[in-house]
Amino acid sequence: MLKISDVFAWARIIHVTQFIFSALCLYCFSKITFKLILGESSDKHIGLLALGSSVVWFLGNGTESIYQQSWINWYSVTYQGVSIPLFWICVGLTLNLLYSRSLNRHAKRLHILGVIAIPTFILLIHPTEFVFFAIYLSTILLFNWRPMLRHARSHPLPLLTVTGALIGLIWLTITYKMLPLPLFLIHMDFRILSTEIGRIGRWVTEGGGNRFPHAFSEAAIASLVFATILRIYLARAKHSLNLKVYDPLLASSLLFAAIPLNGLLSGTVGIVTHEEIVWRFFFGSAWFIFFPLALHVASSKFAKYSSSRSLIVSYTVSLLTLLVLSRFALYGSLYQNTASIASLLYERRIGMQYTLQDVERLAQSIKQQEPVSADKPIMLYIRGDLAPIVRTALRRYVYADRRRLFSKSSFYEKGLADRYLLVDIELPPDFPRDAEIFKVFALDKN
Amino acid sequence: MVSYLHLNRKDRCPLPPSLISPLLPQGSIQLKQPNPLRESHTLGPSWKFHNPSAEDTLANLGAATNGKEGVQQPLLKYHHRTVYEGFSTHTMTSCALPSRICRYLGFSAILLFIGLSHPFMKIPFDIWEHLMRIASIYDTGESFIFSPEDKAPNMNLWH
Repeated sequence: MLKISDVFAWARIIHVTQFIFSALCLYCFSKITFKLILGESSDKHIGLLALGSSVVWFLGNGTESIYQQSWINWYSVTYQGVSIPLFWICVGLTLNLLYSRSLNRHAKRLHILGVIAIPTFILLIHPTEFVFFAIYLSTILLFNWRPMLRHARSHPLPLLTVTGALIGLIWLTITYKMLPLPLFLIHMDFRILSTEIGRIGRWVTEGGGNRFPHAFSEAAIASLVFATILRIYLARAKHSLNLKVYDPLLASSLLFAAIPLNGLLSGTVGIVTHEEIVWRFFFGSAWFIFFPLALHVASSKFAKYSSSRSLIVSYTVSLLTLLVLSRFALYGSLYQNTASIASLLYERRIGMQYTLQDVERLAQSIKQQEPVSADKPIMLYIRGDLAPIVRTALRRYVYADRRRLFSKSSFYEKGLADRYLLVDIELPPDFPRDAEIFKVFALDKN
Repeated sequence: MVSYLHLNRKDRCPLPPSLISPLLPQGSIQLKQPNPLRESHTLGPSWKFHNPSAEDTLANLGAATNGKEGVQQPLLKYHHRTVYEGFSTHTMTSCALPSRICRYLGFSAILLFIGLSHPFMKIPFDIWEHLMRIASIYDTGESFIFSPEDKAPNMNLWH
């Protein structure tokens, strides 16, 4: 009996936990935001808006690498499956701390604790989302610098504590080399720096590094367009929306959408973080709150009363229309994300290319070929697509990389032969092979 | 001050008043005719509680009465709540029971979907790297990918 089920069971448990955790965090963030923007609405109505924005977030965020998949498919069982939901809840807490008038002293203390503790944890596990949070914080401060300054004069301690904690965190991470790039920037010549910014910017925008349009779903683009139109409308119309919350959120959302699409912005962000993750800055955009919000405002205007029924109907009709347009008229990103979420229920559609019987055959084949005893740890050299299975399910060391297979000779060139015994595994001739993966990744032996 | 933002939960009725009114002392609650203006914008059947003691309080407080003592005209109709200046009446317009059941059913459906879902496991995508790390930490206490020689590159901090 193979000891195979455990790692996959962990994967399942982590996936389900992260899915629920993400949904809860998104719901809480949306609810806080809607409460702050629409102070007068009922709890039920705000709950519906928050649910709508959480659903559209799951459907509208995704990317493509061979397959188009939604965010939850790509990032469950990864660090980002934790750090992005935490980032949203942290932004929500910050907004509540700064804008809510109903917080008592105890709640304020808890919020401050959250705003310090969550970014610290994010910084330790996945610093990209810390940069997202820093951008949000800067935007909020920029939009409210006058009241903030006034408040800081009368109550300097909270601001000094938060600023000190953030600076301390950054200093600690630089000292322990957790954030490599600021050091990188210090040692760089300005001329080289500008060349690098240009190179990264070109690669991201023209070379497909931003994964446009696959990472920018139709729902996200429509939501940002609606949000901008709504802001122009709100500048003239009578309304009860809290623009002090709306404006910084809209500005940051547009900025996060612009970063992967603009050469200069993507180059700058790429040099501070890493060029290959610039496209992910779109995940920091709060576009998903504007989609139900615009519908709420529209239904309030045209139906006189923005009842729950009119909101549900307008939301469903708009989402279905977008899905149909995405499938038949636009580039299909939203539709494919939705289809990928639906296929989460069918393991064979999204799961591993090989069956458990294949893995058992693989285990037997390895057992026959590897020496019974060796004076050094054994390292296997096997077809690259099978290397992750051999490592996770069969717990053997493998000489491989995730997206390419090293040459056998490089093992000896690196001097690894002194510490490991390399065993070349030949597969049974009829062992299955996923041709699609081999078109993209260099996983054959060479 | 208009206090319609947060009605207490105790002000909301979990059952239709026609069901619970026989259980309450006579005269404590009177059923009012549904407002046709409001009816056109609410989800299902609606009932409205009317608490006479609340109106007495209103009259005593001297709230907006539009010239008629004890009869207060609503200043603002928002959603399905009737809002009076200076006092939030015990007003409930829609039956909470079906909506509560719908809410529980909806959340159960979401949880069931999530519970039955599977992680993305195609080889060789990102998830596998994390699975390999989980396996290595479980077996050796160290984080590596394919072998102890294969530690995380610097980029992974941002990845």
